[in-house]
Amino acid sequence: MLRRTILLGCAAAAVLALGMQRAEAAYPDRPITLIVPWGAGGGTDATARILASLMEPALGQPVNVVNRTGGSGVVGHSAIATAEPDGYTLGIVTVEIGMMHWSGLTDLTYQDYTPLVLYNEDPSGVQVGIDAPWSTIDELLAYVKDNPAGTLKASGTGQGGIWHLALAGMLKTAGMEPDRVPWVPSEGAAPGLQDLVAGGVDVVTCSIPEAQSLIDAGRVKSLAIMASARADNFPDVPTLEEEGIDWRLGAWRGVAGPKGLPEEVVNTLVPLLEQIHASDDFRNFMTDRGYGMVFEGPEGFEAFMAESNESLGSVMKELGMAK
Amino acid sequence: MTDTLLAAFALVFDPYVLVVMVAAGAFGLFVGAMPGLTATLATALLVPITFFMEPIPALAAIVSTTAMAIFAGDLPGALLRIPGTPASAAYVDDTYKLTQAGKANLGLGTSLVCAVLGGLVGATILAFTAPLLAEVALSFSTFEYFWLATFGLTCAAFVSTGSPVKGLVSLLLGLFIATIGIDIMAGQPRFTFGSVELMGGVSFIPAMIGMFAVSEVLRWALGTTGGRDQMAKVSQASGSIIRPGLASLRRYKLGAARGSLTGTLIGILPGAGADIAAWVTYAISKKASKEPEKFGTGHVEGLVDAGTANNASLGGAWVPALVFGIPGDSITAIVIGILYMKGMNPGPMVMLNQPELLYAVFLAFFVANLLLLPLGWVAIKSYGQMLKVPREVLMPVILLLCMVGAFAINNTVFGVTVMLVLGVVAFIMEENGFPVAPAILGLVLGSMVERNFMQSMIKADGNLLAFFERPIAAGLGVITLVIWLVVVVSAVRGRRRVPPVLATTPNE
Amino acid sequence: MRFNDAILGLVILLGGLAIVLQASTFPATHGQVYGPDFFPTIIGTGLILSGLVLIVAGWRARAVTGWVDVAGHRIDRLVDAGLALLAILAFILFVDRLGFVLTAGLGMYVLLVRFRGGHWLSSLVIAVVLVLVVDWAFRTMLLVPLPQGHILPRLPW
Repeated sequence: MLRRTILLGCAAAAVLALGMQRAEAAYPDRPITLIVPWGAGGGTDATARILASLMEPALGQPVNVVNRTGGSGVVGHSAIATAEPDGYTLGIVTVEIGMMHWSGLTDLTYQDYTPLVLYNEDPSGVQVGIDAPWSTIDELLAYVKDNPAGTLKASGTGQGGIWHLALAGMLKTAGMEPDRVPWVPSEGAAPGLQDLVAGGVDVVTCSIPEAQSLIDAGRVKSLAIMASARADNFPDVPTLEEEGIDWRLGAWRGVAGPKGLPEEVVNTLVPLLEQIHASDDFRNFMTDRGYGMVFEGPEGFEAFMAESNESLGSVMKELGMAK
Repeated sequence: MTDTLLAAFALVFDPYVLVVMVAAGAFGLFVGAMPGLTATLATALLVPITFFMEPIPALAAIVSTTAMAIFAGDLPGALLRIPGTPASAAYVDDTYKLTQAGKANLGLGTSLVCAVLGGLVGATILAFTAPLLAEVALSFSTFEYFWLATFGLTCAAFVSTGSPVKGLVSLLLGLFIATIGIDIMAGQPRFTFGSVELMGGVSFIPAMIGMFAVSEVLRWALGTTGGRDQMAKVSQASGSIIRPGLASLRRYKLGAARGSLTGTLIGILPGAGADIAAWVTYAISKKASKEPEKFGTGHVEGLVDAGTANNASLGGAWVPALVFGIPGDSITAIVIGILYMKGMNPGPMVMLNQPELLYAVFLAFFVANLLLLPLGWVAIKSYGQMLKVPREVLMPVILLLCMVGAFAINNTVFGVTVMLVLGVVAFIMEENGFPVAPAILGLVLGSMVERNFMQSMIKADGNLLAFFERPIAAGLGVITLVIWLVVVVSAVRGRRRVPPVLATTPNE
Repeated sequence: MRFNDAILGLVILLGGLAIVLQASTFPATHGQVYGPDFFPTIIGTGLILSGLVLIVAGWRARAVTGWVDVAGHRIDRLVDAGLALLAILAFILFVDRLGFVLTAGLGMYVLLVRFRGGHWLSSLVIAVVLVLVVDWAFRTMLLVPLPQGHILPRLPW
């Protein structure tokens, strides 16, 4: 017993000595964890992994991507916000941060984070099966209007998720009840699209990159996107605005840390992320997969999140999706 | 066609690619053999490494890693009663009891030979029928999936042993655990008691580690499994491995054929992977067997079926992934991400533009499964050394690996908490004659049954008959209901013959 | 530790009841026949019924089986099992603060000494080597960020 105590004492002393030395090393001197609130294989995961792989060589430390999934994003977003603000835990914050607190799932808001950079925004598209009788968004909306509520069903994400909001907002702007096309919740865009191909639902609202492989395969067609300009890789798909419906909605992704990141960390990461964002490696990856590229630094990102938060909140209240 | 094949051969039989496959295979064996670390995790860990590779070595590395990992999951299952990956859980009792009976070489040899065979069959089916089969799976909507998952649950009735009521309680417990978390249908948190961690639900891996491994450590500590007082002579996998494996294969030819075909088919279905393939084929095997009472007691028959099925499903899972970009399981979900990263957008266009890449993937499957034979042999031989360690040392080591494995799922201690709680629950259950396997199955399939039921009912405005309106759904539904009827009838008949089960009737 | 089926049946029945009651507080989903309470209610009801069956069976068998059977458990064995559980509990409670090496190392050390009935020094060596190997393998090869803690310095890997 005595021997053990002595051993422990020695160990503790050695530790303290080493600990002192460590404090002087520059950030980062150990691996960084990048939390992704969504599952492996999805868009947020893919973009996070490419970012991490490009950050690693520049920082000289491993950047480990950790998927903290579940709870419609609440679990991962909480994990980022409640991590130690030392710069060794960062995360990808997504559009849902401006929605979850309105629907009463969590108290977290964008103000619980230190924003770093915004790197991606994708507008929602309106997809239907390739054999569907509608070839334009007008025909689809006219069909919805002329038939009893509930004739068509839509899917693309969970109940009250971003693509559900996209559909409800579009219907409302087009002068119909927002739930005239009932929402079939799914675990994400991919299962929703598969159900579209299998004939289980009639419409899927989700971003174009999510639908791209099925569009290329000739299984699904996109009737419109909810953006202010057409997408570069799908120049034939009109915007809703062109069709006279003043409605835009997109999902975005950005890198953030918990509230109160040290200045040193922010000053190291922001220029690096800006450089990565401009690099060919990142640009090629994003455009190949059809992800929309945007960029905002910390201030711009914060203002963007504030605005997103307000507009999502007011839409959700109007649609009766806020609590 | 010949040119394409030759080009594919050249791509795969490149020394660099082969070295990568061997290295990735060794990595897969290591991860799979670590309790709690799954083949999916192994694939995810490979992603950053594949960034620096050409498409073919990158894909070959994944193929090789997953094939090895699924087999390696049998090693801790057989030697420690901890399935290394969920895909080994179905027959863990058989392989473990074989080891206890001093026949580890028979159990692991069978498992290795079957894994190789299943993998080869899966690869063959993948190569020849990819486009055709994906077409069938793609037409599955929530109605079909509901029946499929319900059918899977029905398998719980076959895999469970002992009292039917206790099996039902176990199944219901698993189903209940699956409802914890935010319900995606309504966004309603259920049974979370305000905990953010519980909002994400209870992950399957820590639950499984707890229910199989922690309960086993407890039983050993209390001396209920025996072997603690008299140092049981547990032989490691000594003696020939391949020969007894081939012998079991010859003996259960039909089962091996059934397992590899069913496994591939289940793999093709999106969302159902190696673990479900193993459970379903194990149940089929038991049902079809002449000696079903031997299942779970160290019998190789179910092992042949399920051991071929889980490796065969790997090939199957790549079918919808490559042809339509829809993942067949969580591994291929990651693969799709890598394909995009390499500029190979999965879809029929790949077949037209770069068919040699697709054939190279098929070839990589064959090579990986042939590599499995020597690498798996080495792994069995060296892993057996672990049993030379005295149990007093081994048990704390297992506990340590369990804690790390449960932690690694989400990198939080929450997984360890789940493991602890369910480990104690499983211990009490088994002590009192409640089988654990149905709970695991309920946990895996519970959310799938519920989600597809809810989605179907929203589509059909609450009309239950909609479950029989689509032809495939109707077929699956009728089959499931007939099986239920058979189970109920035989249970009622059985009750008349056998007196009521007493509380202390041992179920083993 | 074996209990009479009636006791377990009662626990299961109460559990099922709690699930059903809790589920009845879930709000119905607008415009849908089946809400988030539907499956939990089925599960809870199933547990209640199974519990009843077990209570009846256990009551009938009480003469044969008694109520609780703890025979065969020696006190020292119970302590062994309790220590194993405590090691896990300590890991859960302290690993974030003390770090993986210290928490797991101490737990392993205690268990090894207890199970092996002494061997203080060799157990220490085993525990230290074991924990360092696991830490190294998981951190470097599997990229699992095991907690570092605030006491020990960062290991060279």
